Amino acid sequence: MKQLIEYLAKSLVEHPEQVQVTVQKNNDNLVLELKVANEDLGRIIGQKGQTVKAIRQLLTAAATKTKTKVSLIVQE
Amino acid sequence: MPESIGEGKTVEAATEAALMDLGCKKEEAEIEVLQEAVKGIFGRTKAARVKVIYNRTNENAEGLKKEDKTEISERISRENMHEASIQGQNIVTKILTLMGIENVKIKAKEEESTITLDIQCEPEGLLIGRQGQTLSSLQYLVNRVIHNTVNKQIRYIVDVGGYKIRHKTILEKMANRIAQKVSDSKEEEQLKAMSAYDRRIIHVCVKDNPEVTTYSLGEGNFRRVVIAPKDKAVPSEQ
Repeated sequence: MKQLIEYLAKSLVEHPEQVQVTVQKNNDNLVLELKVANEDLGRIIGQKGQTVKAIRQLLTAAATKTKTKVSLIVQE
Repeated sequence: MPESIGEGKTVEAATEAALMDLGCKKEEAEIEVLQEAVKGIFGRTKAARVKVIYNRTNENAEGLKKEDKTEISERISRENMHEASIQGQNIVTKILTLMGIENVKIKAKEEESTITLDIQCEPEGLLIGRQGQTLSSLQYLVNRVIHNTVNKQIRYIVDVGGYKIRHKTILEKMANRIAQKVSDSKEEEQLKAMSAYDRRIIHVCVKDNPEVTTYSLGEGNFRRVVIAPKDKAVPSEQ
């Protein structure tokens, strides 16, 4: 999961070296926090949140396979 | 501009020697005679000297160049397409592996400005998602990732086991059925809310039917196609 987010985020931004993903575990819930450079925020979120929505969709699909719950937070 | 001076018993011989030296054709060069061959007394001769300048702006030469160029650019674009297709396949494989989906096979089809990547894997349903949502997310992200790394005017269509083709035929069947119903009853009918891509399939499918017309209603995720009888549709729009 973490690698998936890292790969997608790094391929979407202009400053891949500033991409950081941290993982927290709340019971069965996996919480991923994504941190990117300020000027890259727009690239991650996309028009009307389209990009982050697509990332979450893929994340949910991947989580269904392992029967876990995952949520993604994009830090400002 | 490259030039060469040739010497020979006659002007022709001198020119040939100079052209050989430059490695170009007579049409591509400007020839200037410096010294005609002169027969002296007692059989002593002065050799002919010719200056040959390779001329790029020469008409013939330019024509040749242009042809070469278009041929080359065509070949490059075809190579580029192939390269782009491999790039797309790599990205899809990478994303799927990170999602924990293995044994992925991708069939790529290169068209004029689009590349279709058909994924073959198990289970298909996971990648398609409800109403193809996961699939369209995947397609969107693949396009975004590629357009971020290389600026190319190529669109990628990502499909799983021919799902999109199946889905299209289902939509077309439904559209034709409802169009028939509408032209019989003369009452317009609303379809369920669909994505822009799906709505377009309906519009295109019903377009050639002389009895009915189509338009869309609603905003965002609730936008849906209405199939209406043609004669009735005009007053209702006014």
